[in-house]
Amino acid sequence: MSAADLIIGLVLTLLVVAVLAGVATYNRLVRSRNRVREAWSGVDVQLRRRASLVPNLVESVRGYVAHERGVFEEVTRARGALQQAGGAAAAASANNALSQALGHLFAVVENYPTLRASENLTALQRELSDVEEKVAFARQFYNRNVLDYNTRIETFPGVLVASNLGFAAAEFFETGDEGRAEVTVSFAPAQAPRPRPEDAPPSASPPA
Amino acid sequence: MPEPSQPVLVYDRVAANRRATRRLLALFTVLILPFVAGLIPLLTPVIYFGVLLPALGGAAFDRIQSTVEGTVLMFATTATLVLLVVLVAGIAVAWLELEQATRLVLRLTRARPISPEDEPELWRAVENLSLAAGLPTPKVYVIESRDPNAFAVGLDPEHAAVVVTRGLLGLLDRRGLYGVIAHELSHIGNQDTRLNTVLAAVLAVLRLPLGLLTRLNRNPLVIKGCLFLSGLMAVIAAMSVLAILAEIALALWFFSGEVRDFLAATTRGKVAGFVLIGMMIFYGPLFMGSPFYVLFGAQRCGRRVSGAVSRQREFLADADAILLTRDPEGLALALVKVGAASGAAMNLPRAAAHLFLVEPLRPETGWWDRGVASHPPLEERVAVLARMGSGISPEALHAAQIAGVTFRLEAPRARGSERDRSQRPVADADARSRDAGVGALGVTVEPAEKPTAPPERIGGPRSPSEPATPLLFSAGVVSYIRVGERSAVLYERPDSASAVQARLATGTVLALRGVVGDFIWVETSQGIAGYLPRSTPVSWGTE
Repeated sequence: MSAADLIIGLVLTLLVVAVLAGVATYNRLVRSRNRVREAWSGVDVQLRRRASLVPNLVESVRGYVAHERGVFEEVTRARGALQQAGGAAAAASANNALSQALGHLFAVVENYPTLRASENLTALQRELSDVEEKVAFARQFYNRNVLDYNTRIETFPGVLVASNLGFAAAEFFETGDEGRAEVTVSFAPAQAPRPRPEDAPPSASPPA
Repeated sequence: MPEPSQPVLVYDRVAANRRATRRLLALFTVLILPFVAGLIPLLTPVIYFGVLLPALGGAAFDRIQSTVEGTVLMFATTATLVLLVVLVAGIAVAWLELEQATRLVLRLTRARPISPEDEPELWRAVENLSLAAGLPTPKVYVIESRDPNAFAVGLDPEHAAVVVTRGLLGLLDRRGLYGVIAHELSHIGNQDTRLNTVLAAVLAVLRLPLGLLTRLNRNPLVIKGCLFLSGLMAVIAAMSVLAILAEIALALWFFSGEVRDFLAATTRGKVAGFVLIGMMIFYGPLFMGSPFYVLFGAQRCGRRVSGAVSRQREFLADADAILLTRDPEGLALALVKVGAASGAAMNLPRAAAHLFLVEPLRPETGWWDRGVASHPPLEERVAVLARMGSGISPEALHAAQIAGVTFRLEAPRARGSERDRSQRPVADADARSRDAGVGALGVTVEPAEKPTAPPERIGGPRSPSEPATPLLFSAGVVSYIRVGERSAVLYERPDSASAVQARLATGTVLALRGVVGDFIWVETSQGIAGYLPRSTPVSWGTE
């Protein structure tokens, strides 16, 4: 066997190994991206549940405080925004806006003792707080998957495949400031790193 | 508090635990191989005379045996047949175990499935944390037992179940419940439930020979005799290996020329030489030593390895649970409470012990038993959790321990309303808990007369002066306390205005009898019962 044969053989072997490694990396990235999507659907279900509770809530309050127009409009607008929001970052900010609007609504309700005691309203409030809790827990799972996925596409060897085959970083679903503070208190070291705003791509769900 | 030198960040701990588990599983495989090899000489006579001789007929058997090749062939056939029998039997037993494990454990513990309406708080915890873990919501079961504990079963996440006892629901607040449920869900997510079931199945296979022996003869003397004989044989075997090796070396040295010539001369000589040496070095000692290993050694070692795997998985589940709740303190305090409140051992087969949140069987303290235990010591788990978060204050630990001890010493009846609980006299509570088998406390003092003091209420309001002194911490079953740095006063009644029974020097050991409001009910070694204010600096001990 001549030296040339040996070199050709070596190069071919290296090529095959490289291709196999590339395929494995690609498959891992796809798996990871699919996990992010699945996790997002978990958040999405809860967000939809939350949005669907709003009309009932508005109905049960409207009879008592019809004159507080601004509040109702704010809530309805926030709900619409949440339903139309595409992507994690947009959905997160819409969700925070809805939380704020609902906060205003409940502040108004506080002034009406009869309304506050209404059984219908307390049931709705309980359900709403349940959904909010579930959003928070589903968000946690989603963010963990995003963290895993983003780390994969930013580290070697994933970065080689990702940059060439269009794997874009996924967005985190972030809560408002008050929620963040609550989480930081109990467990500081494991906070997910936040992507810089200028890095975030416009679309939330990872590109196909 | 022990200072474990393990990685502190959750992600690192998960990775480290995974590696350790893989190593231990490899060790298990190594353990199984000599077990199967050891069964070969034990079963060989059975196959030899029970199967081959009748099947071939005496004449053919003798003809084959008369040549060296024939003998080797016969031996190989026998060994193969034995191997097949062992493998088929082992796989069958392991399969049955796997199939039955989940149902068996649920039945043995009398777990009852619940609906969301029965226990809304519990259900919500399971539902929410499943969302956070990305798991399908498992089925939820409750055991009507006062001993606080929890476990998860199921071969895969789709068919998993989380089981908690009634005692756990009564003992823990929401934070603690979330921590415990997150721990159990992590077991499901990491597929520890499956790993545990597989380990239990392997253990069942390893225990099979001894199980058969005890089934055949229930006389404990026979078992002990077998243990002694097989142990003796094993020792002789070990010594004979050395002797044989030395002999061979000597023989080869003296007669090297002739031996080599004989061995090299004919094919027959070659084969005979190898078989002879092989038999002497390998087969003889194996034959002698195998009964001991097969009957007793393998399952002992198996329990150690499965205990080690299971202990690793507990740390992993703790770490993962924190990933879900982000509240190390919640789980740590829950563990302390559960540890302090666990009294009597649960009625369980040993094979199921590793499923639980904390060791459900009697706490064992010997070095061997610690190695066999399915759970790491609670102190260690709590210490690791404390290091994951920002630490836990001694006051919080103390309060959790008191809560657990109080819960344990309350009567089983106290499951009712809060008001009901506070109405019950202490003496009654103590008698009842002793009836309920909480004698496992390890309190060595003879029970003194019931206190003459008017019955006080348990769980009364806390005094504003919560103990601020750091306490030596232990999370096991608390059975005695030791007076701390300054001397203490023992009151006749749970009231600091009552008569002083005795003054106790630093270091005095007292048996723990109960907790009454802001006082700890104790008894000295002289049999003087009295009440110690909770604010007295004391350290808690387990026995």
